[in-house]
Amino acid sequence: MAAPESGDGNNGAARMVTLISSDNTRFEVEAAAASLSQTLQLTILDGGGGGGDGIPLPNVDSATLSKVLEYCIKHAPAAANGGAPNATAVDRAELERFDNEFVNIDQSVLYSLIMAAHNLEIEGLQSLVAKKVADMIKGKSPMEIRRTLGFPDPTPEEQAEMNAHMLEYGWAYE
Amino acid sequence: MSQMEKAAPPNPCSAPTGSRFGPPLSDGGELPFDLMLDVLLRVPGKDLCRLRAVCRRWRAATTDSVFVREHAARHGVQIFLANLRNDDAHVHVVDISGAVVKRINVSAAHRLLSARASTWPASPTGRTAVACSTRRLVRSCPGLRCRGREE
Repeated sequence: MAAPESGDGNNGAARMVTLISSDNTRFEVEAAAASLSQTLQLTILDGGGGGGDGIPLPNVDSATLSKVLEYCIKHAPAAANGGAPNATAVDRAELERFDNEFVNIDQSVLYSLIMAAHNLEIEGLQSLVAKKVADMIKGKSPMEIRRTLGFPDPTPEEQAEMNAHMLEYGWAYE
Repeated sequence: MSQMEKAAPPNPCSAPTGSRFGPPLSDGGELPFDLMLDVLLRVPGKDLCRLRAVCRRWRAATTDSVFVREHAARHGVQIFLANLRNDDAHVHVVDISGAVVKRINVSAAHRLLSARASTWPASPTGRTAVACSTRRLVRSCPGLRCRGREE
C-alpha cells in the first residue's frame, strides 16, 4: 500500500490521494474512499493529498489507518450513491455482512478505530464501532462491565455504592 | 493492506496501563469519555439503568437531562415499572433517568397490569413502552414478565 508517487489525475474517475500515518507509512487510496472522512474531504476538495505530498495523519497509526481504509473502500461506492438509496438488497446484505465481520476484532483495536473515526469524522464507522461496544455492554453485570472495559477494581467505597444501586434498581437486573 | 497485523493488542481485560492515546481515564477505561457517552446512548433503557451501578461518572452522565433527552430521541420514551426503596406499598413508574414519574399503590397496579398488561403503559410516541415488573410483582402476578423492546 506504500505509495511512492500517486496518480494525480484531477478529472479521472479514480483520483488517488496519499495518506501518511503517524508512523510514516504511506497509503494510497481513491479520493472517493478517503472522502468518507469529513475531515479529509475538505483537504481533498482543495486538491490536497495528490502527487508526492500526502496528507499526514499524526493521530492515526498504520495498523488503525489500514483498518479504517478497509472500511472506507468497502463503503465508498454506497456512499457515492448518497447513502445507497439505489442499492439492491444484495448489496445491503453484503455491506451488513462486511460490517459484522469488520468489528469482530479485539477491543483495543475497536477503541483505536472509534477514536480514529471520531478524529477523521467518519460517521458510519464511529456509529458501527459504538454499537459494537454497546453490544459488549448489554446484558452484563456492573462488575462484568468494569472488567470488560478494563476499569480498575472498585474501591470499597465504590463497591458499597454499586451494591446500594443494585439493591435500589433490583428490577433492572432481573 | 499488508500492515494490518502490526500492533499486538494488549489484553483487553487487564487494567488500563495507558496507551498511545495518553493515560486512561480513571472511570472510562481507555476510551475518551465523550466517545463512551456515544456508546451509552446506544444502550437500551433497561441495560442503562443497570449499568448506572458501574461507576459514579456513568451514573452522573446517564441521569443528566440532556443525555436522557437524547436517549429518548433514539430509543423512544422508555418507562419502567419498578419497586424502589423496598417500598412494599407502591409500584413506581420511573423514566430512564431514574426519576419516579408516578407512584401507584400495589393493588391498583396489579389490577391495571392484569387487565392491560399488554398495552400499558403506552408512551406518547407509541414506540417503546417498556414495563418491567419487580420480582415481587412477577410472583404475585403470574404470567407477567418484563417486556421490552429488544434490540
